[in-house]
Amino acid sequence: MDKAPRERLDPLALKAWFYSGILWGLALMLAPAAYIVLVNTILDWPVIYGWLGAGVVVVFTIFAAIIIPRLRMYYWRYEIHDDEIDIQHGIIVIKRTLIPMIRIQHVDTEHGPVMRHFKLATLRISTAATDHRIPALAREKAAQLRGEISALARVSDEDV
Amino acid sequence: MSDMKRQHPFMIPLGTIRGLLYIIPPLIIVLFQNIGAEDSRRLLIILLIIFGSFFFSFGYQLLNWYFYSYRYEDGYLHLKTGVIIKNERSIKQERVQTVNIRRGFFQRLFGLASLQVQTAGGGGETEFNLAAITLDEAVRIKDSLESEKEFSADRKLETGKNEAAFSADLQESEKDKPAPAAYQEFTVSIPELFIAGATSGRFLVLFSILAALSSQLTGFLPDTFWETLVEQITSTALITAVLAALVLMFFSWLVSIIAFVIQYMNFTIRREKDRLQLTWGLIEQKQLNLKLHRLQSLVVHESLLRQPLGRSALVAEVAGGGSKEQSYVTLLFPIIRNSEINRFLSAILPEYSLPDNYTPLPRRALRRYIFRAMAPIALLTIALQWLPYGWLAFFLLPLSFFWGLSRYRAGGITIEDHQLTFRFRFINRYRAVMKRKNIQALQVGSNPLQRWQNLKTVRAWVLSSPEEKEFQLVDVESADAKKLWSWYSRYH
Repeated sequence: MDKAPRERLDPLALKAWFYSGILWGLALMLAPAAYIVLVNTILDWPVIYGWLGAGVVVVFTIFAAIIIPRLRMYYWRYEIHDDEIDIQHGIIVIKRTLIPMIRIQHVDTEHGPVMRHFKLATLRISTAATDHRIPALAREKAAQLRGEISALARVSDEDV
Repeated sequence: MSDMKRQHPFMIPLGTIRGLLYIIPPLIIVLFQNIGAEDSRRLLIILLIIFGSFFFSFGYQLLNWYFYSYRYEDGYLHLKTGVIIKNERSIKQERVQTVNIRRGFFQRLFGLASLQVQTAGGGGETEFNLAAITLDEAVRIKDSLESEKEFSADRKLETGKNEAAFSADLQESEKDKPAPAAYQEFTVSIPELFIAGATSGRFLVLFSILAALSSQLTGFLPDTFWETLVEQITSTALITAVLAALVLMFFSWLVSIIAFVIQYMNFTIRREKDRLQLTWGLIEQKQLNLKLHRLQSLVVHESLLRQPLGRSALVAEVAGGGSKEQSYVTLLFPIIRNSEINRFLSAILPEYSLPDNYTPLPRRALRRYIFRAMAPIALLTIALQWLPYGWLAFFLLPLSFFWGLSRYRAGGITIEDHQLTFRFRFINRYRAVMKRKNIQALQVGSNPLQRWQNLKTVRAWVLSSPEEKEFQLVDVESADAKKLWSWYSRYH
């Protein structure tokens, strides 16, 4: 447990998270923007709330696009052994998770539009009771790990 | 992966029609509600809705068909799905629980079939569906998915959704201590049952219902009730009200005792080789057969009322569909003296044993427990100062102090050969005993303050129903968390 797991996420993850953070920020910005437009045209409410809202969204975006991805990247580690998967992740609360191969039920990869653009994918590992994700791996890497873990999970099944 | 196959294109019109069927009932309602309305525009709108929904339904099915592909080869079923969020999954043959072929009227007409594959697993989607493929193809996949499954004949008998997860455990559990030679049983005695009923806490539920009803009957609305209360605070009416409440409480207590005794009369647990047989009930006799490999953890539940009497209830986390009558909590024994638990276990469940000693939480965790208990109560107390009699809330502070203290004292962990026990309290005290093979995953976490103080939060998940169960212990000594980690890890 002293040694942190060896592997890190793909460095491109920072970029992908940056863009999706910006996209979220832009989407959220629509609300205060609409408020400000309405106040200037039809409504007679104080405009300050609109600017306050916009400020909150800007702060949120800075966190979502820059600060949180960096922290996430810094702490995210994983290592796939023959018998178990060791994951460390977190932003403030750092969690270290251990999943024995024989408990793994299935593995999938998934990716949304932003991840696709950067050729990244998330690996999802499910046991009968829990779900674990390794986000932002290079897509080939994710596919390769999916194959490896499936095969290992099968082998350890027969070993028991 | 160019050899990924799509489903039969016929699923597009089929799905479109099926989708439209959902739209027709609301349309009919709209039509009938507006009957007599003269304007012909309504008809136009309805036609538009029909065409629009046809268009969307068709487009949806088309995309669905186009982006859903599958391939079967040596023991793996590969699936690719998702229009925007892409998902790729490989399903191992061994994980497949049941394969069903279904054929509807239209499908028969065109020589098609739909194939449903169910896999074990709690987390994600547990089944997938090929809506329209040729019958030959369906039969071929079904045969190959089921071909190597003879070894798991008993798996098919049990339709519990998580059954596959235990095929591995089954073999492992055979290596555990053997079952007791003779079949043994435990029956709850009637005096014990009365104690259980008296301490079940159910009377509080009944009391609140009765209190709500009686306040309705006497015409008290909540706010007027409070007004009267405040106005007449000095008068004898208050004493009457308190007395009435006490009588009501006593009455509901008696009723709940009798109900409990009737419900759990003759509660008997019996061990037979690889299963537990539970029977209970006076008026309605109930029986539950529990295969041992479905048992995922044993929990000794010591409720606040029973703790002074030195008694607990034994509860089990059971995978693959706990019985509905017991509302998913599988009661193994309604009440037992704490000193008897180990005798009970050696007779009924020798696979489990309750440890005598626990590694306590470190002293420096105490302050954190007390802070967590008192901080919200302190805030509440301050907030309540704006209300009349708000000072009464100050009495909550010592209470919350003792609550934090007793939560700290309850915290403990014991690691044995193949068994992990967490002792913890929320209000009631629990001792959760888990076999290593039943722990699905283990997590050790820490926030910055915990890291500074060398403390950890440990978490273990076991399979249960209707969903997984998480046992957690906060502020464990780092060294103990590390011990737990290397106990669970195959590498240390």
